[in-house]
Amino acid sequence: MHFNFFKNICLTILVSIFLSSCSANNSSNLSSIWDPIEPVNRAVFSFNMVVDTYTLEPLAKAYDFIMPDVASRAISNHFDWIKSPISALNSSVQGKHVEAFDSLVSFSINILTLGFYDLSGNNGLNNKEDFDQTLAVYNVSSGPYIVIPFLGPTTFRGISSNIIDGIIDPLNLLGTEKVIRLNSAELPIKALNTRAEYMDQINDLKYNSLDAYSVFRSVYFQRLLAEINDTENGNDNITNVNSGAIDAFFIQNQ
Amino acid sequence: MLSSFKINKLNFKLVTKFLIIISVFLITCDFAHAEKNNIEKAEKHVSEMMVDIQFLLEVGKTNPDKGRELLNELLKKYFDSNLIAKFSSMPAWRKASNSEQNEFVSLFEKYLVNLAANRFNEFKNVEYVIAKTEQRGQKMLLVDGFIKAPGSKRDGTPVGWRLTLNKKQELKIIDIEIAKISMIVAQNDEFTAIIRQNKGKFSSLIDVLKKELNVN
Repeated sequence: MHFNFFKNICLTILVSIFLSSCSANNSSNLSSIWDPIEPVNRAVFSFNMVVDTYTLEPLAKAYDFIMPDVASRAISNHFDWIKSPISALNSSVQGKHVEAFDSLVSFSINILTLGFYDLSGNNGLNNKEDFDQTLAVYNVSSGPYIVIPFLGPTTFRGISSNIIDGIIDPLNLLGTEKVIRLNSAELPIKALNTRAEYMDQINDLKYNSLDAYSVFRSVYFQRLLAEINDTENGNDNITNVNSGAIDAFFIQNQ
Repeated sequence: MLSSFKINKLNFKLVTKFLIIISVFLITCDFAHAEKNNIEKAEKHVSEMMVDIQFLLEVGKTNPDKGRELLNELLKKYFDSNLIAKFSSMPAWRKASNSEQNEFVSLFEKYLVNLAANRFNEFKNVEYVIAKTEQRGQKMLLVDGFIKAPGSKRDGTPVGWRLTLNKKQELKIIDIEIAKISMIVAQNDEFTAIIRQNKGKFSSLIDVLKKELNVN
């Protein structure tokens, strides 16, 4: 029973990745976003914005008001820490062995504080790798852009990767059910914490855009590209990769 | 006679080689010098603008109208709104008529002031640290740095400024990258989506901007 279930999941994932890699689009191209179900996505996006306006945003404002910055930072650190093993595994598959080792060391040291306080002195996890980035590194294209109710934007590759990350997460050694229960319990807090952390930026896009849907989509893909190229934290060594894509935008449009 | 000819031929070859080497060396030095100059100019441009932003934010606190006026001046002094308008609306820009392009630039400048007013809040009570400046191609420069605001959520946010040399050899900003999100790419995606939803008509973008700015 368990074997069959596992086999079905593996097959689904393999088919997803295959279909994703067959698609013509590549997320690293800033100017070509593949959004074949745009009308459906727009409808879901509008629904998500209503949910955000009436629940997440006010709750996040209250959360931000109550929660001191230090506590909010500690919670972010904890969520980063819990992802360290999967990040180490993905770094390793991507050939980033130093980063993989750093993630493991950071995870081991911070077990004492459950990641709430970073004892390694890095102020949180700098190396955040997931299977989506791993697939991108191996040139699997992103596939179509999809907006999921309540959860927000992703791609076909992103969905497949989330499932795989869930399955291969070394924390599963503690017991898959326990990990699923833990993740489910932490999800609302994570959503609140993230919304509160990016309150100004998200509200700026949400309220000051002429077409919020296309701006959020653009930001999603640019952010994804920065993560794939490891430039999201201004990593000096590889800043050029991301900027190179933007340079290409200017050259193409001259 | 023959030996003298050989010597002359040899000398000629040597002199030619020497001249080529000297020319290459001088051209390389000139490029390196020009690049160094441009980098210094770009860093000065961004640093001076940061000082002006802090000043206008201070003024804007007590006198919003004056703050807006200063913001207009700041945009003209440091940004190339023509080029930003062009890049933001490509590829539809190419198909637009001259009058449409002019009307769009004029509206876009007003829209840009509104946008900038929101973006500049990112720089309230913060220090901007330049980490690296690079010349990219012949005309473009990228000033990369981060926000220094200890204790704030914005601390460490990478902010990059993309500048270009115009025909008068003046440096002007054409893009801001906040946390590696290019504002011009996002703007281009937004405008392209608006035009596409309106059957590819450039005039539809003008109409949307007019509506947004309450202009008839």
